[in-house]
Amino acid sequence: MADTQQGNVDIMSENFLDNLVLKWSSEAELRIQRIKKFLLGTRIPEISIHRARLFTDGYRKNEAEPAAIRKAKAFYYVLENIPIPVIEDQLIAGSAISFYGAIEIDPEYYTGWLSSDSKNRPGTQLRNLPLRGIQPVEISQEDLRILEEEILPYWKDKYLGAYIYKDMEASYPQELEFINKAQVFMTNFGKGFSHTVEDYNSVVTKGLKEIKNEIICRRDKLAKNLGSEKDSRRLEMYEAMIICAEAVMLYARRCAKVYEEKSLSAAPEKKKELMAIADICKKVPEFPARSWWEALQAIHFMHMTNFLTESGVSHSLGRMDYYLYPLYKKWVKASEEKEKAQELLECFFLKCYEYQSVRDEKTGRGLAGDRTNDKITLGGIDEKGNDITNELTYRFLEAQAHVHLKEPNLSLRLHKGTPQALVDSALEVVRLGSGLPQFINDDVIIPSLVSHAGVLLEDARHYADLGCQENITDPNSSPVSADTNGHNNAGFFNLAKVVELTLYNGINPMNNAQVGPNSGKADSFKVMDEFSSAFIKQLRYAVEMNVLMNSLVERHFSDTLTNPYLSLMHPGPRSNGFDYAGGGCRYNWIGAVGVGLATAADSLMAIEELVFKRKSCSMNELLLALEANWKGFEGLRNISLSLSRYGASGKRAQFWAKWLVDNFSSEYEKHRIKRGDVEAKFVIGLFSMGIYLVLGEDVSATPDGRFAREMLSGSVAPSQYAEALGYTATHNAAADINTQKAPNGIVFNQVMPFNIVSRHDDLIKWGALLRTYFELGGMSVQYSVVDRDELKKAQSDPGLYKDLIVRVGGYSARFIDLSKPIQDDFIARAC
Amino acid sequence: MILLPGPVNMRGKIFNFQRYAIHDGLGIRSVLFLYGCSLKCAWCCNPESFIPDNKFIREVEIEEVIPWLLEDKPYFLNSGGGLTLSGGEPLLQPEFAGVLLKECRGHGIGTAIETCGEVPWSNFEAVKGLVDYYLYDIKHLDPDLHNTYTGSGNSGILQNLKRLSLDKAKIYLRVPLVPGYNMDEKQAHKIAELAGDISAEGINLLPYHRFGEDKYARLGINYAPAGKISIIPEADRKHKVLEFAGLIRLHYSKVVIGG
Repeated sequence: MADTQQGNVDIMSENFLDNLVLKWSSEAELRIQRIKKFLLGTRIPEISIHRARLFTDGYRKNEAEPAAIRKAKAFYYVLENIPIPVIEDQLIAGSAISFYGAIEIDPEYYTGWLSSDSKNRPGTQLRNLPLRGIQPVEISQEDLRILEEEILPYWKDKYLGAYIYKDMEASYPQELEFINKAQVFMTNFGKGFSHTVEDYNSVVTKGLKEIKNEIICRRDKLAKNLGSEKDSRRLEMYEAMIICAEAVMLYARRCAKVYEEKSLSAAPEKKKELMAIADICKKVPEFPARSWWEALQAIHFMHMTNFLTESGVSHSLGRMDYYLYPLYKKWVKASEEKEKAQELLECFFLKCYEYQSVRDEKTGRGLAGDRTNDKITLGGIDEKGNDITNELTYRFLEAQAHVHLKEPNLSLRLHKGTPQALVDSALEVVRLGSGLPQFINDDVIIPSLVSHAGVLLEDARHYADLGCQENITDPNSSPVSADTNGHNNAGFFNLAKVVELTLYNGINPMNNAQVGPNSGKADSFKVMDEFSSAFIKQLRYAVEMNVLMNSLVERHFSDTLTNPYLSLMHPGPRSNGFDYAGGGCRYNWIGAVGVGLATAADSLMAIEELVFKRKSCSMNELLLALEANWKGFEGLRNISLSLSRYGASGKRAQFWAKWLVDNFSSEYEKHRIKRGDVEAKFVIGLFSMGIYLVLGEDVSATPDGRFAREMLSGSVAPSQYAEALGYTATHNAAADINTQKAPNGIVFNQVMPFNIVSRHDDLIKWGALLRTYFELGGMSVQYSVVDRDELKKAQSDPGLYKDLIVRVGGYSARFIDLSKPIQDDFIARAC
Repeated sequence: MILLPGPVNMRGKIFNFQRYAIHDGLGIRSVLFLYGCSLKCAWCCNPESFIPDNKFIREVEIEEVIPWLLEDKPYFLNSGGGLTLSGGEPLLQPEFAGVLLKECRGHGIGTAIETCGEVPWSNFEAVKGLVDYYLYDIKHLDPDLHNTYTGSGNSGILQNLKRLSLDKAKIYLRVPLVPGYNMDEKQAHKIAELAGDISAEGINLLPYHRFGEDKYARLGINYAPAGKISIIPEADRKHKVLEFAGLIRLHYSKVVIGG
């Protein structure tokens, strides 16, 4: 891929958005906006049981087959029969859903929570889907009946969670008790294997048929030398991968047929377009892509069939500007071709917005508004350390500016040598308000992967991020096709809850169950060191519980349910025949995720200050105050609230935040679990999506002044109680938490009112803020620029906008502190 | 942290400190707002800068301020920013300002002063050579109107400005645009002329805003200026500001809207 080196990039640094390839008024862009309108106009989503029924039937019909082949045959049955919906105008065919507005059901993962009782209303979660406040989903009476009478009963003892709970009940009752009652971490087995970067590039360059033939060769070779039981499993996996490849090729041919049939009755111009799509569907993914259009169609086929087969989320697309650049360059020369290429790229973006999954009540509330988080990673360096920015990098930014949706998720890798023009252009796109691209820091992430995840430097340089900000190697870009199973969510882990368990000697005050070890009665501690040692005891135990849960999760993912499609799509498993989840990949780790960092750090700081340093109260008094939810202890609470916090230049709070990261990391990194013949190490990350809201509901009052059940701090941001000292204070805090210890990713969200980024020189200063933050060690940042509508929301729901600072020369204030008329005046200025 | 030889026991009265200030000079800046003002502008958005004994006033040592600034030094260096002393009128505390700016110089932190100019020349002397540039406020060039709206004439202000210019100080003129007061053609022309005369680095036009109103209420006083100043309807505001900038540009080109 030598010619992906930086080409002649004819980009204006100052006004990227004024020099886009597609004009807003062009025919092509009007098409894009029509498709977008259609997708956004879809009413409340509706449950589709197409995939569930086909998969169940296929699985049932093949009961006699070995696990991998059985699953592959069920996939084949799905792809052979699932309806293929078509969007007028869309140039890319095939969909992960069976009709627009549908959410497909994956009973092999969802049965447990769908069948469980709703926490809010009578009846099961399934029956409450249309009634719930967040992400309501319609379901027809007939589909409900089929699910309840035919599909879910079949899976009752066969869904992933059933195996895990069965094992726990039989062999690990104590661990099960902890998982059920401690509320320290969430379970992570309610959906298919998530967070992958698949090898699309091999499909684009070789074609699936060639890949299939390679697997056939390996299968036949192995069949002649079958040794151990393990070899039999490998043979089955090869066979299963072949079936999966055939299934996708079949689906593509079915698409060709659908488009051919549609063309029969179409007007001449439309007919040409439909025939062209049909023709492409006959070529890819079976054969190598010969054009930009074919490449995007091939990738889309492989991406969407992943959801119809293994399901899961965050199946990310890797460094597309890098691995697709040679093809793009070859195909795109004249300017009209550039326009067509852009139109196709934007069609592809819209394709990423079609699928969404349904989640259980609690996760659904925590992830409100989230879809799949399938990421595209742009920019950064190659294996030799050279910057890879090219024309295509900018075209992806253009697609984001035009399509402007939440999916695909987009990140931009920065390093010291990133061209300033690229940073400025990206900021112009961020300024439009989608929060994308997210900025991620090569100069932190690469050393982090090397030193904490054991990745070779040249492979680490080809990392891509996925989901929120998890980092793994990208098999599409790495010259040695280095792939990773980084199982990037070991279950959201509540750091504030560990502080609470330490205060109560291992008892969860929300249900009075003794869940943690006896770490000592807090009111017997004479110095802070005793408290922090007790914290480590609680942390260590909770981590052990989480590791045990994950060892079962991993085992059943690899042995019981298996992942033949993911295996087909990863170079390692394709070559060695081991399951993707069974050690097939080159790199193997598991990513733990810490939530509530600032709440926990501020709480440790407050205990140290209030009880041991200032002696504002005894530990006993503090405990009484917390048990009373601060009622009657307002004076003490005010003292606590006056202490300098994380994110607001609080030195001790910062110390404790770092201390937490260090210990969270070292406790997890002690652990390894087996994936087949290889070991997977645990590493940590720090992000929370909206989970900090729901995990807060599990935690009683905390020493930092937070009330019981209030939200925790989000990701690595300061808590809602931190004084707003401005962006440099928050950035300094997020940069100074030993970020390299968190290869599983860090999320740092900042809200910016439009008026402080609106001018050109504002943008330059913003760029300096970003670059400086990265020089100081920040791993990532995502800026939400708020516009008029958002400010209006802040008026009606001020609780959610506590950190929104508005600024003009010489004066600034928290937006929510301003009176309504002044807010109105500000809103008038924000646009 | 303190670089000057000998004890530095210098206290200043401030009412605010802000970080990531991006409209108060070049680059990313921190702004220290010094208490006390020599004018009383009818439109003032920082009433806590002159109202006696209000809850925002606090005394700080130089020793306290330096670490605040050092936290942001990397941002200053990467953006060409630094500290801006503002107020109130920062040059009403010339010794404090002088020592603080000297410390900044020692630490490699950029310096700027936003001043209304209404102080004795000796106060400027106290910070001579320690200021990268001045943000020099010009409210009105007619002495009587200046007096009516700020409680003081403008002769001292203009004299100090000329002397600074003769000293080759870098000066940006800052003009608060107050509807019904200084947004006419004649003012535009005169301001442009003045900028040329003193070889200003540029003119910043600061559109009038009402963000200070809440503060008056919180400080328990009526917002008097609302009566004196005509409010331009929202729809016309942008247009009027652009029009005024255009008038200046006829004679002087380096005009920016905003701080």
